[in-house]
Amino acid sequence: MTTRMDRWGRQFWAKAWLLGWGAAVSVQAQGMDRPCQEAFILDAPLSAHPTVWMVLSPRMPYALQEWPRMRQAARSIGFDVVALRDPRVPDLEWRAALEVADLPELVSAPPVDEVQAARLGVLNHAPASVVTYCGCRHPWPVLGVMPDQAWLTLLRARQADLSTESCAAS
Amino acid sequence: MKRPATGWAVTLLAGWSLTLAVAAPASDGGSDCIAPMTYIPLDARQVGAGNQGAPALGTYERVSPDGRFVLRSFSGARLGKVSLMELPAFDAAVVKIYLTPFSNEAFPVQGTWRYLVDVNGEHYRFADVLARQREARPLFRGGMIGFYAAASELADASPENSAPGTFHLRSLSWPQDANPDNQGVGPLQLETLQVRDDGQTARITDSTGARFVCGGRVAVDGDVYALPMISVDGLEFSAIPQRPATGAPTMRVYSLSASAMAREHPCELRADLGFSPGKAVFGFPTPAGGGALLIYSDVGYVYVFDRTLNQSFRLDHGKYRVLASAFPGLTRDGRVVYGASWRDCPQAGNCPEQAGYVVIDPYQSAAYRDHWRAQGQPAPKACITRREVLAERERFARFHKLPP
Repeated sequence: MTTRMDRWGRQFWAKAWLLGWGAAVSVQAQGMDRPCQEAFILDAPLSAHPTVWMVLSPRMPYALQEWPRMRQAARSIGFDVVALRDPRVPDLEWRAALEVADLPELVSAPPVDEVQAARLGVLNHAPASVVTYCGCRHPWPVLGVMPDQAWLTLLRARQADLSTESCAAS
Repeated sequence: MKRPATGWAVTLLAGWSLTLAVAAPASDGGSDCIAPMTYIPLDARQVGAGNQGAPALGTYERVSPDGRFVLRSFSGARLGKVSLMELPAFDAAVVKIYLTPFSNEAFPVQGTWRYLVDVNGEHYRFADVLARQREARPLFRGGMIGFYAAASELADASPENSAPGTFHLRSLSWPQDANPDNQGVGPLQLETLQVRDDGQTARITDSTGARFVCGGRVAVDGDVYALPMISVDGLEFSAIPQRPATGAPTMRVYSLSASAMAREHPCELRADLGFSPGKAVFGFPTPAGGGALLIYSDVGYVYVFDRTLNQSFRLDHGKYRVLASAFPGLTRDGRVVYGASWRDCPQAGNCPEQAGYVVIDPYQSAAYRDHWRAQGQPAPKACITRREVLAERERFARFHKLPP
């Protein structure tokens, strides 16, 4: 059973993470010159472990259907996987979709901050998946579902992009 | 890329508009114009209610060339996985709802809608689905399947050389080749079918097989593309390279071969929107060339990208709390059609959430008119007329032998 504190904590960290993203907008606009931002608006250090944060929505046909497979594939190469919820999806709709999809583990997935998420383009398609590693996050979300090989190729590439700067500096 | 115009609506294609103006004098904007915006609400008693009481909207809407039909997935418990919605020419009420035998993310063969395709590659005659609904039977099975599969019928460039009843269907999707030796050959796969159809039965008479495409672009655009969509004429596709060698992932348009059964494709870069929106869906080819319009949604709004002007234009909303679907469409005559939820007034207590379809005439939008005003020129086209809409509906009905 998920407690209220658990849920509050998840929401806090989700928002903290997204607020941190705000600083990364300019990085995305400039391409991959500096793929890592160390400054977070909130003091919410990210794990040094490779992690993929997946914004999910039942309004994209494949997002929930492919979530278990993509999560398992990411875990198979050592990633932690965190599910987040499209904030525009009402709670009742979210719960109903999870019931149909038989994914009760996602009930407590926190909604992301809508304003920040919109600015970063992670609301245009689901899943939109962002990789963090060594305390930094990659500015380019991975959009949509894809076969395992493509998915793992991108996760490894995002991790490698981050490791060249952030891990070397840490 | 110029920043999107955030006025009331859309601007379109200078080249196309000018061409239309030459071919048919611009309307005076009088009573023959269609409404600038029409919101067509779904009735929960017909389509079933979503979990909050609003009508079940579904998702992944694909719009027929005449705007009369919408193929939608996730249609809800009452209508099954995939249904067809018939929209009126001008009014604001759904005409009829058809059940289908399809699974979610079934798709039409763009351009003609001669066939609808289930996710396993089974092709059904569109008119048969309308007539028999769930009892419709497939004609043949083939083409690409898998994530984001989409297909188009190629226009026959030399019909005098083709056997009567022979068509070419080109489809695009993710790689399905499990052979690891072939991985890395190209980021997407494409297949073209040659089909012989006598009006009763149809069969595949030739196929290119599923071919990796755009391997030559790996050094530039990387080996993974997201949100692929093939154009209405099957000669281009849009996608976002997820790992470009330079720059950032942005929505781009690439060329495909005009030769129907080509095994190789040029994949030349035709357009770069300069940012990363939702899936970019193609309009019909423009008579003047210059590239078909693209339409996409971005955080609840719908935009049209004019490749001639290299600029996006936002379609504003005519209701409150409008949330547009991620899969808008363009009819052959230029109407914009998309699924959406909205409220009729700002107070949630007074106005329950509605869901349905939005039809917009971009020529009557403030942004389109503002654009031409800023150019110091009259708008080449005042509006889409009722006559044009009826003509498209008649053309589509005649093609499929449907009542108008």
